[in-house]
Amino acid sequence: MIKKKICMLGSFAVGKTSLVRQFVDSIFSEKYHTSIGVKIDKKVVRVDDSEVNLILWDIHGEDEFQKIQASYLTGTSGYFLVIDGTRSNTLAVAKELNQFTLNHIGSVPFIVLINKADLLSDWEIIDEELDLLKEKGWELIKTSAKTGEGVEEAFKQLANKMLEIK
Amino acid sequence: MTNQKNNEWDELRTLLVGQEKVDVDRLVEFLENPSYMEERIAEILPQVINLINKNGQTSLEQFAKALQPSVEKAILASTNDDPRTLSEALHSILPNSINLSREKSQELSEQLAESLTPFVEKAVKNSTQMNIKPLSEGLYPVIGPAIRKAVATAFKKINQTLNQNLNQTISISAFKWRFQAFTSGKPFLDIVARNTLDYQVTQLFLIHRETGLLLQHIEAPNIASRDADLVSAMLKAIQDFVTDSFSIKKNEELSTIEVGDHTIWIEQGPQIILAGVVFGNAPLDLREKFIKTLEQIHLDFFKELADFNGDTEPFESNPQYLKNCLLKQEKQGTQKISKAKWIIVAIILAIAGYFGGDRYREFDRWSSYIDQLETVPGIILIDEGRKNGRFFVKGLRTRDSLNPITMLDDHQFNQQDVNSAWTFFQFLSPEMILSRAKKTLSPPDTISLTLKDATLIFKGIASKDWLDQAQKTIKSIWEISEIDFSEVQIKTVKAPISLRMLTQLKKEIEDSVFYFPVSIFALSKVQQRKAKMVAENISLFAKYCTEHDIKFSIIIKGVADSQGKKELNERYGRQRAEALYNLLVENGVNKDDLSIRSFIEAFQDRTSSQSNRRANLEITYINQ
Repeated sequence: MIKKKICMLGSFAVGKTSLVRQFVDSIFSEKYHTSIGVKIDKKVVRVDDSEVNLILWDIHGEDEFQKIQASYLTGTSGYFLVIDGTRSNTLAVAKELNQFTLNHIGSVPFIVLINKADLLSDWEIIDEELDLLKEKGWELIKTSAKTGEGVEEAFKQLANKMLEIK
Repeated sequence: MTNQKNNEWDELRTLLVGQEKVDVDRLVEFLENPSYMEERIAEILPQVINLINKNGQTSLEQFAKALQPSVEKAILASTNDDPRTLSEALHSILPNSINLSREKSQELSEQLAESLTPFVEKAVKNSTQMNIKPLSEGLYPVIGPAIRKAVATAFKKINQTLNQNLNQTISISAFKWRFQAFTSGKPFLDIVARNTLDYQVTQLFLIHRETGLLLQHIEAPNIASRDADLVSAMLKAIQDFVTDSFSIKKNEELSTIEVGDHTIWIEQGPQIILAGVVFGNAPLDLREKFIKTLEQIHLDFFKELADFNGDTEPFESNPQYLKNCLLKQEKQGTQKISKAKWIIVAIILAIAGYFGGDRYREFDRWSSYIDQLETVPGIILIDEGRKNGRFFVKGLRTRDSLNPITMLDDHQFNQQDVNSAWTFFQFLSPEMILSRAKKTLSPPDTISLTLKDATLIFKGIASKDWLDQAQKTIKSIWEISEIDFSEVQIKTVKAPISLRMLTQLKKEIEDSVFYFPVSIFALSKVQQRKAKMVAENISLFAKYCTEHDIKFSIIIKGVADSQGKKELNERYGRQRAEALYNLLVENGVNKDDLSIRSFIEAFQDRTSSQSNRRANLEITYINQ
């Protein structure tokens, strides 16, 4: 059995926990976020006919990235950066978090999840800006906590990326 | 005439010593040609040396002495000219020579050790200074047993003293256990421990230290455990949390967690962690067993651990290591109570019944008070009872609960006769949290709030401003960890999308302030990263402006305070602005969009002076 530690990072209230809630196995209450700053869930995905156990560290979002405990990132094989499409400042925070992660654990695969795909008309983040990120080599997936759009795909995609660079 | 004489002499010489001359010529040729000489010496040298050997020790020593200066010189020359050749020649014989010196003579081997000591010490010192990891990982399986052996010896001595002391105590159990010790031949203390302990290791987790991933998990039969992968990761998270929160040194980590009757023992190795859940009181040698197992796994799975990439199969297919630690120990069965003891209990009860009527009724009233407290919402009882002839009660209560002190009156107790200690707290029931959230946020009629676990869910229609404000305000209620706006429709009057983006970008750019320490005009690494992000924002801003035919200019304001000479302060301000200017240009901002200005702000006090030392940006639209 292959197991991988992955992290989920993003600004406060971008809907990280809601986004994965219906897709993961969970035994811990969300109160762990406010107490120790992380909640742990599990997601099993299939890659090339074998199962991969993704242990997801859902790290409590903060507006100032210094507040994230760097030790929670240690040993991570990949991560999600979650952005709220309707709040452009969450993108700025995601950029800072990405830099922070890079400084602490070096380069590992990551995927940017732009949440609230069901509210596209209210998005503050515009296509040009997303194109700019794609040019930088960021992989983006539009997701919705409400409809579940993109979530399953995101897990699979990240698992594939992590296994490619064994 | 002279020539004729010479020829005659030659002729005469040939007649007299013809053969000898040939021999003399050959001898001269031999002596004058070194290669002939070398060949000849090579032929005879072994025989000569053999002969010297045969002639005895004295000849050998003379020969060695004669050769010594030349050999030394030759070696010296060889070392200077081409050290590599000599090293190559030596490397194959050096290990053998060292072995030989050890086998041949104790004295030689000691000399060798003595002369090597400074080098070995220096090598170890260098290795630890450069990277302590290889040495400590190499020593880990060795050092644990060595320390234990030393500690065990020390404890053995203490044990013996304790044995003597315990031997002197007199009780029925002591006599019985001493007999057991006598018949079994085991130390008395071991027998005492065995008779008093009762424990079971219910679960064991083998965890990869860096990632927190579960390598193996086993549990005792009939134990209902939760998802071990998640528990393992959470244990690691808690460890990290404790280490980070209390600034504990790197090698001092959380090693014990106690919860009721359960203790979690966590043993750390360089690459793996062994966590065992133990019910009851386990003896300390169980912990030693955990440590030994951990060391053994490090040793046996050295390669798998070094190359670990998430594959747990090698560990899962070898469960015997952990199985050896899944131990339990049951306490002796309860002893039958003797008839004499029953009689004594009955007499005590009878006396208590005779004298204790009043006391009994008082206890009855107390019980009903306690029963009532337990049913009152907002009251949590922590402890109650009777101490030094007075009842006492201790607990937590919310501010809006019934007053537990006045409730004493209903049960015919004087408030002064009871020691009451009540502390206020906020009740965490979802209804209470929700009602506090509503009070704090005062949502518009179009918004309804619900609470699921620790997530506050908003439904309905609200303005963007209100949602932003709500997001800030809700942080004051710490029980709410997440908010969910996914079912909120935002009520906005929208400008075209990229114009809105422009306003947002302008705000972000203008809100970025860069502070400088005293007398330093370069930006720190963190500030440099920030400058990079601001540069990206400016480039994006410039792009949108071009699309909408908007002209703009950015002023970099370098600020200094008014203390000291004006010219100097102006220079400081300019230097700060220039530092930011250079970084922005390095990160792709068009020079033509930027200009620099120096500002002096009035000095007030030391604290505000810090905020004076800064650079920030101001954007002006030219044609709008």
